[in-house]
Amino acid sequence: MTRGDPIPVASGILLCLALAPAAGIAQITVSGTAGVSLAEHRVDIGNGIEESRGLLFGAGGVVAFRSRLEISIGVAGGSLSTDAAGAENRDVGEVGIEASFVPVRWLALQGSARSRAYSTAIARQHWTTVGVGAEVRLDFATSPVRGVLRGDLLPVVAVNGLPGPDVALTAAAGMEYRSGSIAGGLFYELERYDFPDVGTGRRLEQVTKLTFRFTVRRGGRASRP
Amino acid sequence: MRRLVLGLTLVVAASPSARAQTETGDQLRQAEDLYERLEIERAVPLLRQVVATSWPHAVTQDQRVEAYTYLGASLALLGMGDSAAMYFRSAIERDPFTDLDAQRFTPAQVALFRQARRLTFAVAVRPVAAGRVDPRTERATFTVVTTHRASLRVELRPADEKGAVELFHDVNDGLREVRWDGLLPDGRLAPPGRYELGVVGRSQLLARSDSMRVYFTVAHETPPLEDTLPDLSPAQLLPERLLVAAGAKDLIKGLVIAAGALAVSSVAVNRDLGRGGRALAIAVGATAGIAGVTALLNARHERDLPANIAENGRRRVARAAANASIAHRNAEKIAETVLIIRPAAGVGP
Repeated sequence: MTRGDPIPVASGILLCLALAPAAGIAQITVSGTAGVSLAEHRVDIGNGIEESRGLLFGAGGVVAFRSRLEISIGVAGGSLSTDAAGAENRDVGEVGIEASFVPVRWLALQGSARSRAYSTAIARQHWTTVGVGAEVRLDFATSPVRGVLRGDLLPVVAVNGLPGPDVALTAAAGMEYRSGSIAGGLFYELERYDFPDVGTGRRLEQVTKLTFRFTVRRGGRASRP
Repeated sequence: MRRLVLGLTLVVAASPSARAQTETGDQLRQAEDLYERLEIERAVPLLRQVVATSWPHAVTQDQRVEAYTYLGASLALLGMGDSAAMYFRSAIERDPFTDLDAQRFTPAQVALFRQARRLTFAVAVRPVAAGRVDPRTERATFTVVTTHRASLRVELRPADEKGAVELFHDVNDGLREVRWDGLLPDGRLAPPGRYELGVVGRSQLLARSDSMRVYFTVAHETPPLEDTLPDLSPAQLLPERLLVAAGAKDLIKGLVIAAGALAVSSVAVNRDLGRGGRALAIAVGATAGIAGVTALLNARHERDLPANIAENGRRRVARAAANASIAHRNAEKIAETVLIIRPAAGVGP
């Protein structure tokens, strides 16, 4: 992958994994998650917006300790295709880990690290990001539904051949419905990176995803109600 | 360092008590050497000096008992049986564990000593030795003695409680080792604390009684126990009754999520890159809005929530089961408790 290539961004199932609720009377709760994301990537390196889309698949696990600490790991991968002239389709793969501290039932403070690779037939580009953020969890009283709002800042973004971005953040909103130890959720997620101008114009990059996630929990209990 | 050692040596050497005991010890060794060489007439005055009230140096209980014993043995060899028995009795009164080794002393001396034991009544218990006792496989051992045939009761009791464990109650003559399994009368493991070991004897030869107490401490060495789960807080239980107000709150929550999704797709996106997946955000926002409206409609009439009641019951049962499991594991750990026994200050009649 050359510097001039448009850089598509893959889905982060890790984000979905971090949305797992923390409540539980057991001391350790283990969850397994599978998800699929419809990802839309946009990048502008000064020659106009280049757009690519694709499905990304992910899986992971979450271990929650005493409803206060959650550790999640996950992998995701897929392909993004584009119709833009001169641009190539690419494969995306990533692995990440995230830790969440849940001081109160409706709030989780999170830290994450993720490594992602984009591959084309001729090149590969690595992204490494470290983020900190918070997640608000709104449990419905009348039905087993949870609403989630999340925002993260990415103080560390290391990309092959690119300077650090001026703006790097992620945000998400979604709903999750659970029945017993099984949960299904729908989430809207955003990643935004604004790289500085290094003489060839500013590089702006953004990923939006619609993710459906399916979770199976073992140990502890389902969230309310 | 050398100076320190020298200094300590001088301090010890200068200690009047230590020096006095050394004087007594030297005198005793000298007397015993004379006794072993059968120079009895020369040994007796030395021994008498040690037990005399005019002896200017400190004499320990053991040294005094030793002096009386050798005096008795010496006078027995000189044919002064009554005097020998009197000194033997003095030794026995001070230390009922005193005995004559039949391999070292003559049958006549031993016979006189036994006569002295019959004429003297005392009970005693040895200071408790420090040790670890696994109650499952081991027993604590205490050594008691009566100077002759007597009714003996050995009891152990927590220093601050009334419940006593009777370790022995029968006729005894001489040394006896009494064992304790570490349990109290109600079957509980002896809790940590201070204990009193008391012996009371009544002679079957003389109209006399005697008693003695020693003290020791018991500590527990137990593997770390697990904490049981706390009571379920209201936040951990589901609402068991559906309230109209709850539906309104859920509607607000749904709208908050919907607004959040739309805000992310409009405020957080880079507008230079176009729509920012607005359609995806609308899909999620619509889902959240529908969930909120559904919640509101669902809660129009107050009613019980059987599913939540059942779920709360399941959580309570799960908690109780978890606590029962923890309690079982803790009980197994407690059963592995080892008693740490140490002698404690205090001794009494």
